[in-house]
Amino acid sequence: MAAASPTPRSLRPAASALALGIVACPARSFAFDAEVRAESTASSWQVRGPAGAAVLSLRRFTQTLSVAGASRSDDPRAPVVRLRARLRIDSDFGSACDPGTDRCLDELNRSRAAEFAPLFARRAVDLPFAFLEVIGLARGRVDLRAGRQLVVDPLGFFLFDGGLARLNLGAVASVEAYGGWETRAGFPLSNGRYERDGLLRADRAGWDRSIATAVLDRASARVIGAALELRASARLDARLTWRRVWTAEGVAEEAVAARTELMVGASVRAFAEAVYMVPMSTVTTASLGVEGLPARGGRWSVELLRVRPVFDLTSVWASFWIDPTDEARASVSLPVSRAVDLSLAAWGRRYALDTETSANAGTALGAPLNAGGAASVRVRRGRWDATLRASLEGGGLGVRGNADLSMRAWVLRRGLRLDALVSLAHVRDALRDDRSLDGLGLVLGATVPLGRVAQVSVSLEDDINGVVGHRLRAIGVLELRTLP
Amino acid sequence: MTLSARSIRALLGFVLTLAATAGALVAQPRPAAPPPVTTGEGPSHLIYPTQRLPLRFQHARHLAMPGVTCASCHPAATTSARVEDSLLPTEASCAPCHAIDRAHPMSASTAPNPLGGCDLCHEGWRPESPLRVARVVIPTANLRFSHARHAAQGVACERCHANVRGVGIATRLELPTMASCVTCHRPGGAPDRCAVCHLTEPDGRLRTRFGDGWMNPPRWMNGLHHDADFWFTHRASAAQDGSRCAVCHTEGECAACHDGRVRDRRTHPNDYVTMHAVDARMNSDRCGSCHRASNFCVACHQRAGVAASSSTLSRALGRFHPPAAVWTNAPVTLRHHGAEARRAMRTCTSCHSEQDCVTCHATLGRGGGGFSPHPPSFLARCGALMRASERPCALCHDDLDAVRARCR
Repeated sequence: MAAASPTPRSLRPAASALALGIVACPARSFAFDAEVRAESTASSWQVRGPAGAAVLSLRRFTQTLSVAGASRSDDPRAPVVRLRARLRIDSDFGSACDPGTDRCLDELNRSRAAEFAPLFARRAVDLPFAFLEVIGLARGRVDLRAGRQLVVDPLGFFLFDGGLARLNLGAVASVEAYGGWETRAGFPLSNGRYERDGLLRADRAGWDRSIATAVLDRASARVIGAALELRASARLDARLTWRRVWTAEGVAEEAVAARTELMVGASVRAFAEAVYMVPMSTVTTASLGVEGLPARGGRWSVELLRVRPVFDLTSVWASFWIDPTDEARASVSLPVSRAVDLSLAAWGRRYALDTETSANAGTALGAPLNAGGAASVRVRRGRWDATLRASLEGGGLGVRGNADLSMRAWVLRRGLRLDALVSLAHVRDALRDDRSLDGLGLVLGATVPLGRVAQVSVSLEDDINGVVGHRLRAIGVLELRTLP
Repeated sequence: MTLSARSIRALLGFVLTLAATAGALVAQPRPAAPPPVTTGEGPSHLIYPTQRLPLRFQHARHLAMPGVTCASCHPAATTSARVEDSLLPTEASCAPCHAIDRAHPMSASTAPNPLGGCDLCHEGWRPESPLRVARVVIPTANLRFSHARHAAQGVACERCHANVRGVGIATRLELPTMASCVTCHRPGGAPDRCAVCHLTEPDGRLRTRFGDGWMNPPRWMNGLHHDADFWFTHRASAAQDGSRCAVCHTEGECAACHDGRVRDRRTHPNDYVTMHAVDARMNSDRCGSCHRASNFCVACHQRAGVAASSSTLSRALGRFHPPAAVWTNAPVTLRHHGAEARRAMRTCTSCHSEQDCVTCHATLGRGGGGFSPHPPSFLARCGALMRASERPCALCHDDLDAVRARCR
């Protein structure tokens, strides 16, 4: 909660509202169940630069600790109190060495500016989310939530520290409002994972001003947002949402988005979405789609999409010339039998570089096109399943094709799960033809469940291609689950 | 692709191991098919597991008799508060009309109904094993349900068991589907939280796994049905309202993929580290659903020697972009950095800071080259952008007052 530097005093309204909500819960027959999960992942892998030389030999140990709990009541109208928290620690080891000289980088040493990697951290501890919520106060009309929380809606992922209130207005509408501080890079327990692109930030305390000047010092950002959700007899579901994020340097984001889903008959669903970036006076995302659900099973869909990337409005990127990408996509999903599913997809992409006549170059660049298709077949039996997937996309930007066969099987009376993957890839880079390649990837893995409370997985991967030769990767995962 | 003999041996060993594993798997005896998962049509086998009902009965005939109601045979149906309660009529419920003479199970009784033999109700009963009847198996439904609460609200039996008046033996097909439940359990009506009826895990999420099968939202529910393609199409559902996903999934499940530190092979199956540059150029927006360029990409690019701000040691590996004659200098073609930036600027931010651009794109007064990066229509909307933040203007323009005047 302290990560994005909100003061304890400024958090009081949200905390008070939540405390009031919990107090307002009926005390009778109140019980609280919780579950603790821990996951430890050790991985070792190699990264080679575009020129093929071994650059990094990495090891990473990642630990997550999650707590999730909920109140339990025999009264279906009783409010529910929920707790969700997750702590994560990434510990990086390994080295970046020049194979020619055996000299390794000292990425953390700020006095060696030529080697310093400003955004690299050996150990990073962060809190992806931690919140407490009460659902169904005032006879189901009010939901409250406080803490570090994620909002997922047409404006995308957004992580912030603060409070959110939802007012449910009968069967047809609900209103949502939230406010607080965006979770941003450079603060303790925070990695800024969902910050918009554009600016590099870190905690520069103790840094020489002349070092890594492109990396700005951390800066907190306030956020307020609101949403209106409308429903009509399970046929129409619409959400209108608005959000504004601002810092001392100005407004970093202000956007309005609307998304609507409409059921037409029993088997056709139509949906549309638009995102409007207010200070840019630009529609950055627009999509329209139709989905069919035939009575005999399966699904088909057609979707048109226009996307224009957005950036932090306090960065220069937001005022640069950015053209949209248009995409048309069609897909079909067919259950061939109870054990076999088939999916097919095709798409075309148009990079609309001709939307505005070039004032600088004096020539229109045209609109490069790419087109592609994909197919997948999944076979599921009682103790094994296999999936074959293939996709190919090509056009003005080169060619990318891949096929992979993955298999999973339970053996030894479900005491051991085996995984295998074979993949082929072909890439032709139109911009840098020397980096075109064909690749082969092989993976073997095994998972052993240890009762209902633990699971151990290991996997080995070998990626082979003409640019980097062999690249090895090993992963081990231990998952634990306890009920306190 | 040139491989050494050692590499080929390693590869061969790997393939042989893979083949042996696959062979061992294929040699396994073929197991039974898994229980079907719900498809939205008819009651789910996960919610109502398969029953064995070796019984004879005519609901239609009984309910047509005067004075016979559901409660006549199922008296506990109005008081049962738990789904585990058995509401099947016992012999005592039948006996008032179908008296049974256990000494002579094949003989007709003297009761008003002359058909009182065991095989009247117990299908497959044989006189040579008079004390043996086939077992009735009705597994507990994987739900929470109180008949008493519904009865107290005045909900008639046939509101949920709609076809029972016209059938013989009542089976799973006469149990209510979710589509019928939500006619009352809807916003503004009866409690509509999923956990009111569905079983939950200790953390409050719905319990979705039963045996070998996974519970799946029905096909009629707002595109939430998880079919084979859902992995790639779930954005459309999640973007509508992420709280719908949270009914069954924790935020940790989102984070495991969308913020994973271990590459998920379902999304990136191949040697993706080597291939990702081409994919990012083709559709950088899709990358953005999981990776922020200024956060996730830059740190790795800096360390791997790809970024402009990488250490000189790792950057010595070679130039990343095409030659300057094509990439930087005029004329502007589709291979010029200007065109690439207009088309996929997110890829620029995965390596470059804004200072790299300002060096050339700043005005002459700021020491740059004066190459304007703005689109032709920029003047019409720069005022709103400037009101949002003047910081980016100040990076390139030396005379902000003049800029304010033009953008007013």
